[in-house]
Amino acid sequence: MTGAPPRFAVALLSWRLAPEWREFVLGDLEEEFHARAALSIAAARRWFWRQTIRSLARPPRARTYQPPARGDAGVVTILSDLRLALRVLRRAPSFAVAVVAILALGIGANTAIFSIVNAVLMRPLPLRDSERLMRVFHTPPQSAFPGIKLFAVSPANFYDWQRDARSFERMAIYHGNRFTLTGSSAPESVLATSVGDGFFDIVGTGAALGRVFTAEEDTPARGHVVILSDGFWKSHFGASRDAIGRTMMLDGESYAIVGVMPASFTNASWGATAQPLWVPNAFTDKDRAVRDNHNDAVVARLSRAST
Amino acid sequence: MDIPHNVGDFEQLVLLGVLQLGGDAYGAAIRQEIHARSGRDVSINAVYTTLDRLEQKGLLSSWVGEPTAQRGGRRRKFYEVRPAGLAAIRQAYLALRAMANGLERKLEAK
Repeated sequence: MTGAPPRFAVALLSWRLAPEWREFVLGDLEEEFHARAALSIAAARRWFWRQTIRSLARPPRARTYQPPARGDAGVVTILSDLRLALRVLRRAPSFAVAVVAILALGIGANTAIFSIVNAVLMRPLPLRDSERLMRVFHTPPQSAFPGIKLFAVSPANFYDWQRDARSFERMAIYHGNRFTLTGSSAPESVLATSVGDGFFDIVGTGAALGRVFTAEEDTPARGHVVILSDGFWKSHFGASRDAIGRTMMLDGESYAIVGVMPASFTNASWGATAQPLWVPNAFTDKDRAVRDNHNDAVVARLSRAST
Repeated sequence: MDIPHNVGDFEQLVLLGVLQLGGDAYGAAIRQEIHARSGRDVSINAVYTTLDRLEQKGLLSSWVGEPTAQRGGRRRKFYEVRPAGLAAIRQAYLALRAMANGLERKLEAK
């Protein structure tokens, strides 16, 4: 015999090799070591260490080949596709970056669209018994407006319906509005919803701070009052409770702030709730008599007797 | 008859090494046979990994010999080529020979 393999290398290999391979690999290495040591013991030791290092880095693995599984070919195909995809991505980093960017854009766009669809179409309005809230429209005569199924409502028609309708507990007329806000910093264009008497009772939401409009405030004499959205209150009044009772200049006229709506009232899926301000319609008698101008919307709450 | 397995480049070398060694094919001998014939100084772990894979594919069978003093009292693991392994290496050989046909002068030029 010609000496022995480096003991430390043998110990390392014994530790690293799986039990099923240990005997055969160590035996092979020792056998070849002796053959080489007959020529040069130093060269044999160097060779043994090289083999040890290579075996430490990548020892023989058991079960490296997995025969194709039967019965779940779909899963096997998906897994092998995934493995191939990962290998391709690793080999081409710039392609991988492009793939990740495209996936991120796709997922982001999908999420954004779903968020809108969820908020607008799928999630019920956060209003009391929202399934009993109805939008009411005017149906125009088809002879004059062929193909047009729905019209906005005129004030005179609305007041007729309000007087005669039996299916609804209450009805309210409203429309969008735009004011120029002045008096503090730079003039600012602000959207508002002008609402008729009963609007907040019908939607079933009270003010978070202060109050909603009274019936008397839906008149020209007392209609210069305003309710703020939660967002407007925070952005323009720093969420100060002292905002109630203060005044705002809208289109050059003074409006007293009487309330602030809760944040949950603002809902993108219904424009009447989504504006920063609400003011009373405060129609004059002349406004109420207009029948031919259809510029208003109507919300109503079904009576308990109706289904 | 089953369709022969496709075998990779190193698997072909290992299968041919086992065939060349007849009944005396074990890890170290196969490693030396490949080194001597092809010039590739492969590691013993690469040889065993491939032997194991070929056995899993059903192309090789193995058995364990007796302990020897030369191996520090350890046993050898011997391999032999099964019919499926012979079919696989034959297919690889015939394909390579067919593809190389007519190119001998170019391929064997020093």
